[in-house]
Amino acid sequence: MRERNIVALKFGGNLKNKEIAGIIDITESNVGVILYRIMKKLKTEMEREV
Amino acid sequence: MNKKSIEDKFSVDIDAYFNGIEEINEESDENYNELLEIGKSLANKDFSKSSNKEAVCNKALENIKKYKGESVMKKSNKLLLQQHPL
Repeated sequence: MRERNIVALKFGGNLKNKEIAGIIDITESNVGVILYRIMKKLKTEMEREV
Repeated sequence: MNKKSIEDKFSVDIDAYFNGIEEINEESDENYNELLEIGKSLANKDFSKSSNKEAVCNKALENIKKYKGESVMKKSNKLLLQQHPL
């Protein structure tokens, strides 16, 4: 659920990591890490579907 | 490139893309470039075209509040266990 929220806020809301961190109460650095991991997961899933 | 900096670099690059800055970095790992392209595709698509944006925003905020509440409960449960171990 947290991952969905971060994707929504980042790509839907175009928010910066600092702003997202403030909303969901984690560090800015943590937002960056989670975001990168989400992209890796997405890539894996997309490759699986091909 | 160490793992920490690649995560930071991704955030910097995607934020730059949101602001219309697109740098072509040939030194980057092919894998990294693919991830960045996925991020750019997400940024370009308006998935909410046919949806009620206000409802989606409210739902996201509701989920965030709910997650915050659960997170606070987990933290206070952890504190209780530390103070009164079974």
